[in-house]
Amino acid sequence: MPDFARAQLRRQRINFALFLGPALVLLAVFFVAPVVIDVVLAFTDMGRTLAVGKFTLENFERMVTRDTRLLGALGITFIFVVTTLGVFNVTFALLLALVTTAVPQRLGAFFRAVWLLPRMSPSVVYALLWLWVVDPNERGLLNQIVVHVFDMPPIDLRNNHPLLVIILANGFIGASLGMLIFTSAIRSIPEHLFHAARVDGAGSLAIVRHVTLPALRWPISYMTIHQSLSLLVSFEYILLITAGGPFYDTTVFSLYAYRRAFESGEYALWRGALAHPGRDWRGGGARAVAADGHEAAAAAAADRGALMATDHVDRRWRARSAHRLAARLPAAPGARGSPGNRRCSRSSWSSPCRSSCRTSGWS
Amino acid sequence: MVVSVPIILPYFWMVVIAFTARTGGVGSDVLWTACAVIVPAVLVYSLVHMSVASRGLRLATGLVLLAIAGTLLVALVGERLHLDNFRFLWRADFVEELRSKATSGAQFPSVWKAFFNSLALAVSQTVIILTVASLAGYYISRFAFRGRNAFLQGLLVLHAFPAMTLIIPIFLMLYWIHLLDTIVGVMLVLAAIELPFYVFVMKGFFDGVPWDIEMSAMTDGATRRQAFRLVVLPQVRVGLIAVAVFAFIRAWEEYIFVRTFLIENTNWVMSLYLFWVADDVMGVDYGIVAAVAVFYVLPSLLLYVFCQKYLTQMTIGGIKG
Repeated sequence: MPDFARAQLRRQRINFALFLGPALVLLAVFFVAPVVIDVVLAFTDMGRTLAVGKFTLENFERMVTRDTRLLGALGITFIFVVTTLGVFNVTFALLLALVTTAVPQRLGAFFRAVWLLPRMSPSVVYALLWLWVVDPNERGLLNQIVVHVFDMPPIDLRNNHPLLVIILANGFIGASLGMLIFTSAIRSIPEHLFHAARVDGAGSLAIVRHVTLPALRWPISYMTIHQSLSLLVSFEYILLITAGGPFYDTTVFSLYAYRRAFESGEYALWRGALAHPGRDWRGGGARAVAADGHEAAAAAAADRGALMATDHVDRRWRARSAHRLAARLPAAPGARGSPGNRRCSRSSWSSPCRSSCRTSGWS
Repeated sequence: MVVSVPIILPYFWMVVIAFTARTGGVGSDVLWTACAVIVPAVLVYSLVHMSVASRGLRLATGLVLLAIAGTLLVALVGERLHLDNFRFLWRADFVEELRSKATSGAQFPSVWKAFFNSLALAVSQTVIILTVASLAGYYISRFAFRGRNAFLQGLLVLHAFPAMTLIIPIFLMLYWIHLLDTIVGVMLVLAAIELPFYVFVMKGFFDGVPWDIEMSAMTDGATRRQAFRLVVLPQVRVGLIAVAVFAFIRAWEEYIFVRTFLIENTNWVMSLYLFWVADDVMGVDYGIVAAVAVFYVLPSLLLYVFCQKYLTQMTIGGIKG
């Protein structure tokens, strides 16, 4: 090999290590390794002692046959995801986007800023606000209105309709992301289409129905899938507002796995450790996790399996709908204008648009 | 306008509680008095804004209304406002003062401890993400290398991956490598989990920089790395700012991971501090909880308000891929 070629190869390797190395290391150690550990643990009998004795399918068997709460948790998850998604993340977000683009620009920007506030404020603060709003005594913000304006006895949403509370709380957050994406999609519809529709005598509603909504078709389906995925796994606000209670009434599947792992013994141990900092809590804590850790790991693995399946279906479905869209495109130039369509009509799994509007951790 | 009330009112109430509540109770009349002053003022101003064309007149009405509302507020609720609830800023033992010593034996660190922990976590995580994501984003955007497609797809899968389900194995892993209950451990985990998203965002910004810029830099004798550092990076300044702000806000608000991985009270961050304060003195003193919440929310809120234009650009840049 000639010298310069060797030098070039070396330089390429150094560049690779320099630019991509840090990302690869970080991802491998703190992201890929836990996935592997999780899957392996799900098939072991690891227990309180953190020791692995043998590989077994027992966890899954127990999960399917003996875990009576699992079915309930799945049912709650279903209601939670479908309602939040249908009412807030798509419908309400669409409404917000339509309204904020219709009003003067400054006002629209202000509205969007207000609706992004919950997303930008820390989750603990947001949850705290909800606790104050639904406070069952007369001081709760909602009850102040209920008692003084409508002259009714104070209501206790948190205990009587806990599911409603978490749906509202998650919905307010979820609506903002949809609003952002729909807004930018509406913005990218060519202006002349609206003018043309007006010249043809279309009213505002007709314009929404025949110009705006067809252009939003891709963003809406994207939002539906993205949000259902993230709603399936996010439990932060539920944990903070109702802690999955009362009893197990708002424990969705992902929270169920978390509760199984960390609530049984360890939570108490942490608090104990705080009161007696000198004690050796480390081993105890970890052991307590492991008490139910293996089962929770199994549950988590199953959860992910379901997600992967959803994702797979989603991918195929999207490829198909993209085909259909592409076939129809020439007739509907409005649809081509939206950024989602343009990018994704030639989409495959690796299409950049799907990935990059995904926002990890955003419910 | 009306739809936004459910959002604004709770936040407003939190601020009101923080500045008015005294130990034992919350007076809700302040809230409604303030609303009775502010809402008509806003309504009148929006009417004026819609009907009056001249800019100067609008400004003048706005100022007059502001002055009227301000005087009314001071006159009606002025003497109810106080700063007592913010005493947690200078005394660490307020919980002991509110509850008996036995129930909360010196559990609470000084709020500044938690504040600087939060700051350290957020800043270091932001720095890591900024460095790693811009390096990786540039490489993916500009270099052809074997396995590029596989890498992109892998990144996509990780990005779509529900990280919450990894809490249990990460907990065990941190325990094994002795990083459990350290800020460093949480920082690395958070950075890794958020990384795929930011790599894609940075790639999107780098894709937007024309090749010619680098070409001319390299024609002028710069090496690849120099071109990256001196020529391309300044071009994506907006992207860097957006990523930094977003990463900072995300780390600042993080709750589940810190709750799970940080245990000792000297390692508490603001979210844990607020949570335990709320847990311990809720019902006894709403005021102090609200004050801590206001103190906690302020940095991310300020960042959000001042950097909003960069953030929206990031969303758009993100969609463009």
